Amino acid sequence: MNSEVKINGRQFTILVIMNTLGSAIIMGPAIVASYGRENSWISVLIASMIGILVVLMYIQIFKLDRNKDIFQLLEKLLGKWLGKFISFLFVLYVFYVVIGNLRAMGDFIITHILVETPLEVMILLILITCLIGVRMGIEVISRTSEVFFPYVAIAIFLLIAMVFKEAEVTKIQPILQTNIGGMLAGAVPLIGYPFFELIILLSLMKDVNKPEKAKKAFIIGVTIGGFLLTSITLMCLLVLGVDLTVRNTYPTYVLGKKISIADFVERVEVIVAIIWFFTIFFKIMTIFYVLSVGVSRILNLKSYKTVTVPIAYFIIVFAVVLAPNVVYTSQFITGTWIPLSATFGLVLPIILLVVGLLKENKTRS
Amino acid sequence: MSKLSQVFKALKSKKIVMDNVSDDDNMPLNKEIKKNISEVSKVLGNSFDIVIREFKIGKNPIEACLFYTDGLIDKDLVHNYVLENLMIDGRKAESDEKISSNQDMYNFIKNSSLTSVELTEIDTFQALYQHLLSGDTIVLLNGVSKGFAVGSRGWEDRGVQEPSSQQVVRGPKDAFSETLRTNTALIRRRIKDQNLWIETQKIGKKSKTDVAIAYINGVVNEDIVLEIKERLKKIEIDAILDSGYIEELIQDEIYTPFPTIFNTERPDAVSAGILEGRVAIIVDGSPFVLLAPALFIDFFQSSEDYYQRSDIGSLLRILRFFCFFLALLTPSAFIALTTFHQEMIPTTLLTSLAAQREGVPFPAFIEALIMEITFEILREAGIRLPRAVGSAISIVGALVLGQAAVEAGIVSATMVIVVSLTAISSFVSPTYNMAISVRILRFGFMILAATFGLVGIILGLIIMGLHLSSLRSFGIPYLSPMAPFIPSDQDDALIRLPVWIKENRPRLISQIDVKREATEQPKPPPK
Amino acid sequence: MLNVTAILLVTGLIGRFEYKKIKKLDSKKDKWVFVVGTTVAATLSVALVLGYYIPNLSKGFEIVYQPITDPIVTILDTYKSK
Repeated sequence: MNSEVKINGRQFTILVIMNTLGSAIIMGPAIVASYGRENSWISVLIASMIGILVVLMYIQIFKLDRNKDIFQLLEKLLGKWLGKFISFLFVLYVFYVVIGNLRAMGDFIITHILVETPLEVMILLILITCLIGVRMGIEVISRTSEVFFPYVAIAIFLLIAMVFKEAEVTKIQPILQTNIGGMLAGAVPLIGYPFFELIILLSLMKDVNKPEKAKKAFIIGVTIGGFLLTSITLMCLLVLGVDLTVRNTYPTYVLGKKISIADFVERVEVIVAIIWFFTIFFKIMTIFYVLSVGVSRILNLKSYKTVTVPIAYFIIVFAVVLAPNVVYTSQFITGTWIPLSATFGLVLPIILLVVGLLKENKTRS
Repeated sequence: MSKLSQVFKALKSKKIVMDNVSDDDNMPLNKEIKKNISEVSKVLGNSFDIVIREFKIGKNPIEACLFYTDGLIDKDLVHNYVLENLMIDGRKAESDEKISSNQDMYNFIKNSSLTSVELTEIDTFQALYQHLLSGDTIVLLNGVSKGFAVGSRGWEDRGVQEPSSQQVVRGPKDAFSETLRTNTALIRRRIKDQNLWIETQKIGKKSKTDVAIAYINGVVNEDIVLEIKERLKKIEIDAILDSGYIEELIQDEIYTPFPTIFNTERPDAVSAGILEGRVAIIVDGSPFVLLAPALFIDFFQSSEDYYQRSDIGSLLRILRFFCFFLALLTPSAFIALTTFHQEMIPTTLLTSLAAQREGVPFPAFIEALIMEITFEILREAGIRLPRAVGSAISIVGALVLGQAAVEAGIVSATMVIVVSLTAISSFVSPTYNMAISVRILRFGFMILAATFGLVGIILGLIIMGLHLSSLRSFGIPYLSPMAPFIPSDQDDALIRLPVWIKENRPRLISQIDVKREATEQPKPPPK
Repeated sequence: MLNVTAILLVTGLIGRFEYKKIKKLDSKKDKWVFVVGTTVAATLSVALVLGYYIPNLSKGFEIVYQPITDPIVTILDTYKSK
């Protein structure tokens, strides 16, 4: 595979931020608030801290071998066949993350923006766009994310600034007085979604031109992403209050409805939706890229592009049948997704680390 | 299938025959002048603009002959410094020198008689035709199998005029013309550095056009120069009639609406480009000089940005980017808002819009399409029409198609405003070819907006972003210094900072000798 | 029926253009994987369009992880607001 492809540290940071925000920026607050209530913004904060710790662990894996992505590493550490098998399971997980995000985006669009469009058409459209990006390669994806990132950042800050005058501190009081258990419980699903998913980005670390920068970029990215997630959750609570935040599937979108400038610019929530269009688009693109690379590694192909088209078909089909409705999705995120993501985001890296360190000791002695 | 291959074979063999002919042209000149003359007039087909003047030199007359192409030479020069010297001065001087053979006479002419600066010796017919048809005067002597090509080029020229496509209010007002020599001189006059190298080569089997590349050695990225030379060398074509041919033949990506090579008729813009480490490609016969590599932001910069104050220049640039998006997205955004997202339009505006559209039979998309296409037709007609009819077109366009269409209820008044805004915005672009790209893309965005509303527009923008990011111009990412983001180049990208801040040349374009300016910030005298 | 024809037509077109590119890679495996992958993928999409049952990945994961999920959900649900 083309090993000359290189991205720089800044681009990797942006990809990490985009992947952290992903669809969590719009669905996260509702999920957390149902457990943490007034303190749920602290839940997000806790989840982000744990996220940073998890990323620190991923970086240790990266240090094992700087020139191999996770699929090659699995084969190297666990032997050819076991490695390939685990790689296959991991690819399945990555595949699930892609279709989950794709479906989330499709569901959102057909419930809130284009009500009359069929889900299949929307999913097809989004995936074609992503396919174009994936086929151009990670370099182009990261450069494009660099182009759009300023708009995402500006839009998030504008959103926060414009609803700021409606914020009421009483809505999040009492702070840290009651429901401590709920606060901690709220952090649990959020660690799986989106922080454990960052293991997928581990595969891209070897494409960063300076390994030292890659580590720093990963940590900076997850910190900024966690911070933005916390701020958005906080704003949702401050402006909408706990009940409205819990009751809506997409509280951030509802937050956008509160924007009103001089009684003239109103109901610009579509603009808010556009923010996370970008974040989720780049999330799907990067993960789709890793997925194709993973599959091509398992099959020992010459180019990852070979499998992009067939995979795209699979993604569409499985995304369409993924979940009967939105409620099921959020139930899945607070249920099965927790152990599932922990398997690949926590257990797998620990195994890799242990095996890797043991082997290193062996060769040293 | 077999028929096709036969045709190809036939074509191939034809090519070989053609090559053989050109090999024959390489034959040396004859000693006998009569044979030379008959050969030349045979090959040139007795073209009536080729003048053949036979005469005799010296006291023991040696037959000589002079060829030139009428219209391509400076006649005074040929009269005063070629013919006169050969016929009169030659005879006078002969008494001082010892001339016993034709070869002696040849040497005498070469060394002491022809007082022309440019003098080339030729010994083949190929060289003879080349010089003759480029405007040199050929002198042949009987008994010598060599001849002279005297530089006497001089033809009717438009001269240095004001640029017609990229005008400025403040700044130099000269423009390139169709003569290569004039164009290189215009650049040389601005950059008097010994490292400004100008290399020429001939491209085109039939046209044999001079194509020059100019760059500053030591500043330019040598890989880029080599790459350009390589790509130029690969060109096999009958004729190069404009630099557009070259642009199309050497660009990186073919399937793109965006230009990846810059063209301008402003010598100051070319000089600035060369000074930044770019390579200029000057084609004889075209007033448009190419600059490569070219980045996306280059198409939003006007030379004037640097001649006005930096804050004004920066504002103008931001305005141009803003207008780029206006020209690209206004109609599609309007379609999306009115068809899918009415709730985003303020209520009062929405009611007035609805009232206007009441009598319009078409959906917004068709309405916009009608107006956009009409405008494109008007615009194209305006360019090709004789100037005198131009005002008629604007009357027809503005009054008949605008006013009357609204009154007839075919389109709404708002749509006319939207389309005019788009049109005016697209004229803001300082380069014509970026404006054309926008025109094409606009229709794509309109279709996307009509089918998927704002979502469609976003998808379009993402695809456009991906495409732009994937483009390269001679190895340089097209979107740099935005993506990859280069902090040190931001001083001259979206905005233009004062000259005393712009210390370095653009990083990706020039990697050696990056320092270009070291003036300190000007300090006002103490009061 | 129209949908099925459209899918097959589009797949055929994409396959044609893609195959040309993959040929240039000069790798037998790539060719095979592409041909088999695309065929399976197209069959799957046709099945979806014709309304055949296609296994839901979420359900699969749910069943596999049921033993671990249940205790977690029970704990979390005690804190869930009604």
